[in-house]
Amino acid sequence: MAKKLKIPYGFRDCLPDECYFKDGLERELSELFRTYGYLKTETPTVEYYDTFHDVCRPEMLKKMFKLTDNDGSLLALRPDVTLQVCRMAAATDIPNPKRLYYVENSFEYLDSPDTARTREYSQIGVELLGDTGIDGEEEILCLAVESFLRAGLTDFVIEIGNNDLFRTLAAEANLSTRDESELIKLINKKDGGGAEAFLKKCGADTAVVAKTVSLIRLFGGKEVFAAARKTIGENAAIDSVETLFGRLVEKGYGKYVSVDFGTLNGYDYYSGLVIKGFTAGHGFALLDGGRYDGVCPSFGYESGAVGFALGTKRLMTALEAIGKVSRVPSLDWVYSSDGRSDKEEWKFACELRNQGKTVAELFGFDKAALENYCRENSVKNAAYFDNGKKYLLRGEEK
Amino acid sequence: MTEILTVALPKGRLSELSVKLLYKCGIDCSPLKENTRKLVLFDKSGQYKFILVKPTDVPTYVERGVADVGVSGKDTLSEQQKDVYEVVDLGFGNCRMCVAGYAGSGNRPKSGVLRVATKYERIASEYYESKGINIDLIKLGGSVELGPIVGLSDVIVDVVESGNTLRENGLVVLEEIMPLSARLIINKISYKTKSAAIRPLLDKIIEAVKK
Repeated sequence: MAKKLKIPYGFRDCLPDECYFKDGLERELSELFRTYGYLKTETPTVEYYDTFHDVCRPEMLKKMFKLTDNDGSLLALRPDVTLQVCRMAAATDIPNPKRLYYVENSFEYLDSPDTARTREYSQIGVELLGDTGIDGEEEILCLAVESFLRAGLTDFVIEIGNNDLFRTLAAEANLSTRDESELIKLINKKDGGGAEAFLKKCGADTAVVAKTVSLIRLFGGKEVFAAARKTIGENAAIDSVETLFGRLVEKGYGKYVSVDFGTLNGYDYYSGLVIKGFTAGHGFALLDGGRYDGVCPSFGYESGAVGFALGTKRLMTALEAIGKVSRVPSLDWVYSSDGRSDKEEWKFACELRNQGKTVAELFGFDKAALENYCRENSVKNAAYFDNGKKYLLRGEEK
Repeated sequence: MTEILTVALPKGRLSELSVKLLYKCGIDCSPLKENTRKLVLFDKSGQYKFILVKPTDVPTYVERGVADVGVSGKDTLSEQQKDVYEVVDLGFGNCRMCVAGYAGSGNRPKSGVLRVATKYERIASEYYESKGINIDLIKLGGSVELGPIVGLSDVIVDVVESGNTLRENGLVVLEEIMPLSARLIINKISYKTKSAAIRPLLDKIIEAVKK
């Protein structure tokens, strides 16, 4: 018997307690971004598929939810807000540097329900547009640390990497774009043996193979910089990550920062800085970001960009695991009546609501039922109206 | 105090070989050798917690982070494409993913479409896609060799170890898709957050595998 209660896999309802928790978190982070001068923006849920076509790799294009418009144009549900913000920036006159943030849901088409991912996911993120250089990157990294702290996480890692180190080596190995993305997959899996075999098959020389494979083990604390120079040699990407690392340590964020030169962003539009944020005991990254200087120019707008997005639901799961979860508080007041006290009830409830109290009528409850409800739902205050007269059953009216 | 590492081991064939490897790395996991129905076991030192799971489920446990480390066959990893680090080829459980069928039957459609029976939907479809051959994919749960014998399919895509099953059923390997072996996989976050415990273990494993 189909009761039409089913929803498509990868989509979810958000029940009141979860919504309350989520709203609170979004409010906290929005407030943090606001104090850094970031302005909230909203982008449309649906865009032309063509908008994304040139900036995304085929894997990402495949994972877009597609629809058709009346005129037959192909549309896509927002796969990512960053691309939209850059598209928007290219068509507006907000002065640089643009500091923008968003609270939106993005969509990913998954062809099987057997996955830890969802097809609709909430994100909150920041974008810093303009030629902000390493200072801009520093600001975004600080915001990443501050976001986790503000959310209530204590034991977390903000990891810094840089795609350019890999790009230099891939150029030395003279790889085709297709081979390069194959190699990115192997390195992102930290499959050293696989990467080595693949590079040899592509005909890369032994020195380049060794350097490229070494990326897989180049992660950890500040010792990584010396190790990277030793195996790969001097490189601007190493210098840049080290500078950022040092600046974060100076700010007292040292215990939260680590490095990984082997985490690469597969998307074409990422260049340079890569950021990941995670916490022990939660198997997935909570925060993803980096520099993506390629996006704005693809919309005809010459500007750099750096930013990150937080997975709101993942962050909530991580917070729940350490007991930092908020639930909808009990009502402040409940009341019911004999049905002959409409004017008095209304006045009473309005006065309390104007003070910001939560007040709800329990339709048709008698005194005993009212008492019972209060006990079961931890409501401190209750009133009953009888023929225009108010009787306090619980608590005290201020 | 060092953190406890949770290791997901596949029940069955690969489990014995995994235990042997762990011994070589100085981990006394004798409780694993006892004939027990327990699904959660500890090594002698208490530093490692082992969970015994169905081989095809190992990547799921590791991806979701309930196990930090796991041992999984390359066939399972290629088929499922879970988001995990796949760090070491353990050098055991060696076999091949192959296309098999009757000798001389060929691996291209003679008329219509090539019918392929397999447990490995993704591996088979990606393989034929790369060759530009359209196929009729027939998903089976086991005894895939029956496909050509009863006329359900033209060929099969399956793991071939010794080739005995194929021979006994009159089938031969037509093409090799990829070599397979057991791999050490690690959860992407655990590798970073528990690196003090994972890195030394990994080094020992790499050392033991080389020998």
